Amino acid sequence: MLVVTICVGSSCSLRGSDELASGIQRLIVKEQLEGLVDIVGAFCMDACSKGVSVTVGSREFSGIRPEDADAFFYREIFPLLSNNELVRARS
Amino acid sequence: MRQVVEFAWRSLNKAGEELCGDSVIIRTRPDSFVAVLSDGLGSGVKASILSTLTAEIAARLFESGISVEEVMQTLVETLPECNVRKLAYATFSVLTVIEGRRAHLVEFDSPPLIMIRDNALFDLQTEKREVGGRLIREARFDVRENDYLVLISDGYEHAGLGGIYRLGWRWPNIALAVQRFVQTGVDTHRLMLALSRTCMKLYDDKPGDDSTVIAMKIRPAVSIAILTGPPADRDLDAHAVSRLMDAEGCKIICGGSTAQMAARVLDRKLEVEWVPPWKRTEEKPARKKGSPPTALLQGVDLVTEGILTLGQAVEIMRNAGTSDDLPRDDDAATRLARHLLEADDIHLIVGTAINPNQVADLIRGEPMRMVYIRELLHDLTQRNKQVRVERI
Ligand code: FES
Repeated sequence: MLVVTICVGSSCSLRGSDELASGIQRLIVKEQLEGLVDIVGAFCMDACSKGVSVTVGSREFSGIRPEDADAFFYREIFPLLSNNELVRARS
Repeated sequence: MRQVVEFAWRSLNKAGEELCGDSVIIRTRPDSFVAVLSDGLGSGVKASILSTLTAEIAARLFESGISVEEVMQTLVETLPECNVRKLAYATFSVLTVIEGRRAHLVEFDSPPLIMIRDNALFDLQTEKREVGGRLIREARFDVRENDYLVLISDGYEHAGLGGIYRLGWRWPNIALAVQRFVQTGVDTHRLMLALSRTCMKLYDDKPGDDSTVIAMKIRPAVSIAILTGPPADRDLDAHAVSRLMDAEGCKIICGGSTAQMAARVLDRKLEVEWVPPWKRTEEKPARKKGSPPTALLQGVDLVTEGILTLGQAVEIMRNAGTSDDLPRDDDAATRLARHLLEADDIHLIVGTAINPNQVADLIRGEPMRMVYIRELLHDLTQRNKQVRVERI
């Protein structure tokens, strides 16, 4: 299970944690990857910026804006999952 | 365990009067409590001045442990005389409770104290004596946890006069009412409200006299401990966390990095309370915009992110007398404010690390956290709470 942690701290939540999370979730559903990714919230990651801070597995990102959800998903999340055996078996 | 006197009071003005002729002064210190109820002769301005002065003098003198004789003497010498009646006069009751246990009561022409112990009216023996030509009642006694003590002004005794009660509500009936309310296990705020509403009703919403009630209850002090900010020296992390975990009562953490530090030290999971938008329901709504998130950490009663919560709690408390006045919300700041308002003893454990990622965190060279803590300290001490600040 891949864990995507979205910062829901004071700064990030004002900059769209909820929207970004929803965007990523929508793509997960679209790509039929439910059950392979878990989206959880986290306190301020001490990386407050103009966007939202996110960790994917153990990799940390910051400044991700909700409108970047698509690009971010296909660049940082999708590749990790498409290598997954389950996904390969399905396609 | 420290015992404290919880209290709530309210005065109803005589219908048509802007000033109340009854005065109440309550002072609490770590080990002493003084409540004075004084009723000035007549009503309006003159009564108000007489009772204010009387209450002020009595509170100050009894608190300093001066004898009843000297207090009466001072009152006679200080109070202005009434032109019409050639009399300087205000009744009073003074109740002092030392260390939440030893009580001293002095009553001068006021309705006797109503005391309920084990759900029954307690027959308090008072000694009557003459002091400077005036008859006073005095008693020294021990109070216990769950004792309720109620002081009233004579406006209560006369409530309903000629109406429901031909002779007024009268002391025995009021005492009975107190006893009934107490059986429901009320706090003093509710007891005060119940009595004051009944009085108002008996007067048909137009009190014929100033009517005041002070409801008091003896109970153990409620304590909470708040850890905010990691220590400046990382080697002290474990120490800071153990100060919190070993503290008496409810435990609170304010601050994201502090919470993460505590989770690491305790080796427990920090679970942020965030419901993803697609899983939200009516019982699990979105967080209020701009309010910091909270988290679950086993053994800690409330974990909130950010020093922002401290600032917001101070803001919310500004308009609240007791926790009953708070909005029903359960966002981080309101929950913190509720804990703070309900506590008597507050232990603030303040880590002094400076967050390098937040330059804006420094105001005039001082971390934002300290600014909020100072404001909080000011508010809490004004509310007679015992606050201890420990910097690590
Ligand atoms: S609030 Fe998200 S990194 Fe600070």
